[in-house]
Amino acid sequence: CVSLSTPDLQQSWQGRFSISAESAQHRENHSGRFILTHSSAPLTILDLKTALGNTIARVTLSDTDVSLQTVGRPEYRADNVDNLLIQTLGFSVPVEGLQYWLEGSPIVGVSAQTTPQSKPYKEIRQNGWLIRYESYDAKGLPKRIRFEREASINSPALSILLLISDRHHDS
Amino acid sequence: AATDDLSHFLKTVTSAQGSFEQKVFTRDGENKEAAGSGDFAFLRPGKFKWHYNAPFEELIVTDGKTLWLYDTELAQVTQKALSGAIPASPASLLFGAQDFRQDFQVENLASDDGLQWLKATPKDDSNAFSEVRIGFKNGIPQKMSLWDNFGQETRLNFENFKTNVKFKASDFTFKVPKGVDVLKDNSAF
Repeated sequence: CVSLSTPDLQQSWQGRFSISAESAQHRENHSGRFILTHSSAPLTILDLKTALGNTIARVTLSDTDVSLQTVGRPEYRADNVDNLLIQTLGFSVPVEGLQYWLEGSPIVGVSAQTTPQSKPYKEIRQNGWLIRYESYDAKGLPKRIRFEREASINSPALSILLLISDRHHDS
Repeated sequence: AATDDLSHFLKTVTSAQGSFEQKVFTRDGENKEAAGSGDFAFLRPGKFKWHYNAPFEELIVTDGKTLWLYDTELAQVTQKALSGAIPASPASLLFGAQDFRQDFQVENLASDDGLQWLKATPKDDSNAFSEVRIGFKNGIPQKMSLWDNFGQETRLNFENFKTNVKFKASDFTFKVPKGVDVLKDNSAF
């Protein structure tokens, strides 16, 4: 069993996801639940779970490298999370800077286009992703977010729907 | 002993319905947001329904050939053809067509809080769970704990378990509501 101790939790988001990965050959769909935890170390951990809640993949992103642990397979390491996920799961999910996007903001220090000019945004274009905020909750935080990315030579076109059901921020 | 209760349950309880409560624990304690409850039903071999009404509405139903997962808020049905083993879950272990003892080593544990307990450990490490425990009372599962490979425990309490209920096969098929898109899911989980 993985003996990774959970870091000091600064922020976490929980919810459901569904992913469509479409390449010339075929279309894949996956759905389940996710927990994203982000601490100031900086350390970001994304757990992908089944609909029944057990974790089947964990992506761990530190400032130096990224690793992917899945059930029954050795741990993978790489310098680039995108390639790592595509090679192992057949699809990629935005992990780098996801904590900004889940709060409705562009990643700090990276060029971005937003529509409209000021918050709350309808769309953010950044790092090759189009992020569409389909709904906000009563506190003005994003609830239903769609992430889209065009196909590239080694990656299928991706459309990811996230529904955030809970936020936890250590003050 | 619990292992006898299990074989008795798998052999003689051909259908049942009831409700469940779920709690999820990680090494840092309970993940309150993941707590849930709902109802279940099954008809051997292979037909079952696992319906969450909390933390959100989600229905999992299978007729043994196809598994549907309907998430009302996502307004989406994921449809999965069941070729070979279905992903291990509390429902598939207890209600599924396959006898889960093919994939798990089962042994008795000491009885505890009035229940006969058994422990099941997977025979190979590609299983979604690293350990499962089931507590029986009068031959019926009352409590179940499942540990995944990342230190998370899902704890289930079963209540008002009615056995050998009369079901129609159509009780375990799913009619896609209008306006809901259907995704063919071929993921491993």
